[in-house]
Amino acid sequence: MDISIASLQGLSYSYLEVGNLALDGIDLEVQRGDWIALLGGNGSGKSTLAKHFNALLTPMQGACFICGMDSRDDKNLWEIRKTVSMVFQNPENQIVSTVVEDDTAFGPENLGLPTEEIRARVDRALKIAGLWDKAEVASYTLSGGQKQRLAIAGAIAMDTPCIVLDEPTAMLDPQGRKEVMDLLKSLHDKGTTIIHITHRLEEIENATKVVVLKKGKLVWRGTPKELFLRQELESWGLELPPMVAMWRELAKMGTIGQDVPPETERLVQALCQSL
Amino acid sequence: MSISIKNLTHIYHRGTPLEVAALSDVSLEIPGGSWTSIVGHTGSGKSTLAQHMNALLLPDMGEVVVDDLSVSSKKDLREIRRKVGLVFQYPEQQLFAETVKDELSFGPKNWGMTDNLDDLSEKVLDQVGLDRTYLDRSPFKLSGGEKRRVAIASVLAVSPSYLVLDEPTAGLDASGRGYLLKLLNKINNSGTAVVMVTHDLEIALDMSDRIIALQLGKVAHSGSPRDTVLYMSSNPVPGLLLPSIADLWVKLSKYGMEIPFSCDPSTMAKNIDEKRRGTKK
Repeated sequence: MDISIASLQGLSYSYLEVGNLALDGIDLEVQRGDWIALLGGNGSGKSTLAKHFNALLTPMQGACFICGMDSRDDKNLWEIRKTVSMVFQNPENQIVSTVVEDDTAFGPENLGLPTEEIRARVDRALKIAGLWDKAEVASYTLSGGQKQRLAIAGAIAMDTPCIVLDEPTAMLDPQGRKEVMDLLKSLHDKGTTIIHITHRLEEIENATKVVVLKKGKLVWRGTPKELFLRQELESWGLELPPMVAMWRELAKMGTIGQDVPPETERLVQALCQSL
Repeated sequence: MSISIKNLTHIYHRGTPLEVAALSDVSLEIPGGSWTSIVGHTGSGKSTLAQHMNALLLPDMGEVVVDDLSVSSKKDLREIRRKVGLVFQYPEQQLFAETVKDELSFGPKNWGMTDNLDDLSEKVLDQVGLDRTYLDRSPFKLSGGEKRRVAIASVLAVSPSYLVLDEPTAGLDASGRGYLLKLLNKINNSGTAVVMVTHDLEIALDMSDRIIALQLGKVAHSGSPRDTVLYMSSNPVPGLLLPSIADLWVKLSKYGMEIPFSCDPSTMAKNIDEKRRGTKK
């Protein structure tokens, strides 16, 4: 099986005929099993880039290949959307049916699958998303976290090897955020390729690759741990998790050794040991 | 001067099978000029409480008194609604005019102010960090952060004594959030009380004089940020996570490292560092 999920080559995009590029010469390789954290502040171009992965937008310059298929070629559209599914920031914009299981079935029904296959996919998706007991419930009664998990269940039911999520936790409370992050982790463990757009650095610990966008350009790539040590975070519109920010200052002042990780238990140990 | 709430009960869908008490027997006090944050899980009643503060909702039982005006007196409602400005979570639900200028002068016109409306619009726009080029733009074509700021400006235009905001930071990125909090801090320093409804305990702990935690329509706890952290470390409130730094502070004190409370990373690092140096001496 081909290992490449997406290959972006010098991809540029602009919403205007002339003028500012929303994306400017992006090169990025996404491989099967990756968890890409796509970071950047408001207006960095991360949502525009997200929409290229399933050909909602196509490059004006450069190219975007999904499993080797050129996204500018209309006859690839159907196959590309069977490869990559999208989850948006606001689940309300994505839920189409009034009953939970009907909503999950919407995608597979559009693929024209046999009824038994649809049933099997919906059951599996709802179980993975932790909504099995809500199958027959009205979707408007779900909490924010549950609604976002329903949107993700819709993507799971499409059985695509890759899911792109555009700030899926932005409108959720801490409980809802945790539910969604736990679900992403379990999907990744099952082999799904994850492209996760966020500006919350708390959410990138499981990422295999981190890329940072600023004003349409890809300005940095590396691992989560490498990112925490970068000085440019603020100018990228990103904010360190408070614990990491404090840890960095303590290390700078020499209060703790560089070898102590930014974790509560280890910090307490290190700080109280020599009292 | 204060918003004083006594034994407030609010019931939605009264007399139907869907009847639910969103607030039951809530009593609290919001002192003038203070910064109070109301925190709680989704469904804890915090938005309902916010809407009682400017008489958008009226009590089923109990009383809400703003300064010396009671919501039970019909003739006082108008003045209460001027004194207490409410900013909704989704600015789209609040904004309606074709231009920012019309948006900002709508409130003052309703209160019978007709003089110098243009100057006033410009002044409140400046207060939220937007310049006069915004006056002729459509409020619906602004970014999320700008929409919030216009919504706040439109409330400031009638000079409220209390500014109540429902989840003002939801959906904003780090820089948008930082900007908004700085702005609210400035408004608070000029004497206007800020009441912030939020599920973000970290922001609440960092910014407030007092925190009120709601749970299932009742006040679970109210007190200073420090007291709130101490309370919540032994009595978890569902849906509210103690921020990592507050959690660290609690654990350090358990192991005998007593330092002043702060939720700000660099203040906390400084406090820890000073304590360590002090002990070594």
